[in-house]
Amino acid sequence: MRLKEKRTDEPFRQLNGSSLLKGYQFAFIDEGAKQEIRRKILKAVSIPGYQVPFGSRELPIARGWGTGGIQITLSLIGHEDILKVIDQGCDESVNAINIKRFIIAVTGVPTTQDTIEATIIQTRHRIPEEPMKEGQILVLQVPLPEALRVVEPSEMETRRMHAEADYSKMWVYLYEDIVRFGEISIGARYPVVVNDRHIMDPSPIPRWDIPKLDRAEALFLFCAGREKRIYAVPPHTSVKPLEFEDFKFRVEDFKGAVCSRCGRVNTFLDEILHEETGEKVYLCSDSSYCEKGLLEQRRPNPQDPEQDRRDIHATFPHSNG
Amino acid sequence: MGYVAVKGGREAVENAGKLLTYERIKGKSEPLQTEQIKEQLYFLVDKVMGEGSLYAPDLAALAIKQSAGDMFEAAFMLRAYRTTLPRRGESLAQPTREMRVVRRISAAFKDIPGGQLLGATSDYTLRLLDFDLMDDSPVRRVHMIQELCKDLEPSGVVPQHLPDTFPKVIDLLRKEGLLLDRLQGQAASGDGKKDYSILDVTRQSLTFPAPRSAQMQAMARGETGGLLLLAYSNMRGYGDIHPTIGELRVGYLPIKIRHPHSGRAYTIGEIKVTEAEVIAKFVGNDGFPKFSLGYGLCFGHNETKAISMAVLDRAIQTGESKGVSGNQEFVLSHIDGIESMGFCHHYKLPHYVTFQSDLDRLRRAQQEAKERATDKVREQ
Amino acid sequence: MVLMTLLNHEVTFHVLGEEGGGLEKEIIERTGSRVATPNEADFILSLLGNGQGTKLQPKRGTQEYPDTSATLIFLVKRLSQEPPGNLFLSLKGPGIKNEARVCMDGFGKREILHLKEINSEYPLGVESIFVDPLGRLMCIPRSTQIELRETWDTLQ
Repeated sequence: MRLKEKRTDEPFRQLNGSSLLKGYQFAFIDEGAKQEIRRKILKAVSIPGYQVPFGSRELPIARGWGTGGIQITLSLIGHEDILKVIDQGCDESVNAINIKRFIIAVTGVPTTQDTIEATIIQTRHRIPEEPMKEGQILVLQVPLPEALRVVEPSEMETRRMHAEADYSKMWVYLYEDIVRFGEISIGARYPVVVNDRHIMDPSPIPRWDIPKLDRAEALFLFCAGREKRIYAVPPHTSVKPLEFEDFKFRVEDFKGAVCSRCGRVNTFLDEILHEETGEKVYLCSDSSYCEKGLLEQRRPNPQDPEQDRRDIHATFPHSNG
Repeated sequence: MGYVAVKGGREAVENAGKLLTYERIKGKSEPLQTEQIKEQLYFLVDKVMGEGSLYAPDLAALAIKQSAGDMFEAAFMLRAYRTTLPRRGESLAQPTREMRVVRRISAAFKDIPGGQLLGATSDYTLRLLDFDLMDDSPVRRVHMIQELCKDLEPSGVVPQHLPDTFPKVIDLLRKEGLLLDRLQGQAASGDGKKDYSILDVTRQSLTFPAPRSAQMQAMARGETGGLLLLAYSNMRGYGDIHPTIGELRVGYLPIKIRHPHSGRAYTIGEIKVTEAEVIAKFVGNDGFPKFSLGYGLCFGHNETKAISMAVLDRAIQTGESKGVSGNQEFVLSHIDGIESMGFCHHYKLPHYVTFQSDLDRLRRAQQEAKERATDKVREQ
Repeated sequence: MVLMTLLNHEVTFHVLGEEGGGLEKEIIERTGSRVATPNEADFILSLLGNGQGTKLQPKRGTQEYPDTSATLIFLVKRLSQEPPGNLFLSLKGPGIKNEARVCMDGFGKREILHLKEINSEYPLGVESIFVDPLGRLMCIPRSTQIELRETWDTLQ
């Protein structure tokens, strides 16, 4: 069910309320930059989990706010793509909206909130709950690409550690946590081993999302704009979180809490303090998944695919900016 | 429902932008003209051009105006604009002895060929607020200029016309064999040959150890305060450079390119730069000691930055320091204002998912601690 | 097409198997790239479907920066997921679900073995792109395990 394409003729008119220069080329960054990013993506995909340095360009969006993810998206996106952008799992997050505005303004590519429909999904800190399929690309925004930075501040030294697969410092760090607290202190950004060779930082996704990386069907691309690194997990690649035989990897425990909106239990939940009552309320972090859950609840005929399509179309109207 | 509203986030973002603009224009004062900023806040323009990495005084003035004086934002705007400009070519290397000097001093010698030319500097002014400036007007300005020019007469000591260019102090030191060979600090390629190619940090990734061309570029684009902090740490004792300013110059450098048809060099314009050459303590290479040199160069008139650059250049060449100022990776990773400011501010973005994950860990760890305490009590 | 997508003045290339340099000139003109020796080039284009046997020593990257290796582009006679062909390959590794089977024509057994040798010290290694005249394209990253099979049947 393809959404109609819509092109924006005056890209920057709406952006700041002021008249900026017109005439930027498709996808803003120059061809040379795109070519370099594509070359580096190919190398990254060829060495799963290894960080490839690249000449990160400056964008009108600040460093630390997604310039890496945006550069990957801009280098790959074409007129046939459908874009979804989320932050903390939510399509309407201020940051996601800002990024979407920019990408739409320089490409005119249609957008969607539906995970299944999107061809490229740019995300900050979450992997969508619905499993992605072959041909889809998830672009993850990365603040700090080096998993070993927590045990070693020097880049030259962490390069050596990766080269020699000398990861002892990382293992000791985890071990010391267990001895001290009976629990590993790393919450999000939990280190994983990719293709049985490189330790990788999966970006600040919760541990909940880490199993989704392992032998998936979709392609995962990671990019840190400020730190200038690209890395990748191709489909059908092994991704294993670091764990000990007697201290296994553990995802977040919501203790049976349920989304108070759609009723699901098997999603990552946001803990929210109610504005008025102050009591704890749980909501799905993945907002579009929550919408679908709500739809399921309300549907009169649970097995009707036609109704499905109508409902989805109504819930996720064609939105451009 | 908190920062990430179910719907309406888009509106909030747009309105926030509008409010920002409104804050700047709501007052009763006359709108600032970019010409005013360019002429009367020229140090600010120079700083922003340097950190924005784009020599464009009008655009820098515009950025300063648009950002309402937030210098990180202004430099950021210039950088973002720079990204969109096509790269037409590269200028030819330009020896700075051809600089059209407006200021030129040396701390190493009392007097130097060509003389100490103080130029326009605040160095010896008394930092007393001039309250007359609060009541400014074009008429008053005319009077001020008349006052300033009143007693200027050519004296016998100072020549009527100053030369356009001046010899370099370090050339004199070199002639005497007191200064290290100029290419000493240049990174050598694997086979020992000197590498003269330039790594363009705006187009290629920076990896460590970085060649000197990349290092100098990164510092030339660096944030003045950051560079000052690191250089100061070295001067104060977390380092060994003990600098003496061999020469500090401010002036205009011609920009030359190779003519596309004739192949000959021709000048397309000139830019104002500040150059600092700092003499550091002597090193013993091949058993024969000489002074070493640190070099700094940046857009516009910005002596703090040029001097700091030169000290850090020397510190990095030496490599050792009691602090971090000689650590190339540390210095180059932390002096870019656009990067550091962006990352600092990114912490304002929603981080509640990662926080949720941390909460989960902490709650479990607290439970562990409680259980351990209970076990201890039971044992007793 | 591959070259146009990836090459520009920031990388170098080398063409194997062509006398006279006509293609070389065209590549320079259309991409702005520069020529380098086979040991140093970022992209090596092999027109004859062979990598000159053991003579080809493309750069494999360094321990700290394995990504700085070359990418090899081979023009072969035929690429397909079914016979006929001279060469039968079984491919496994990241990006491949279980196993991929390929038939190739115009590429030597010796070359496959040489490629395996070049990529034998992961993460050092090169990427290979195979293209046939019909525009079919196959990319083998260094992370792929390549197995030569005698006949198509042994793959079934």
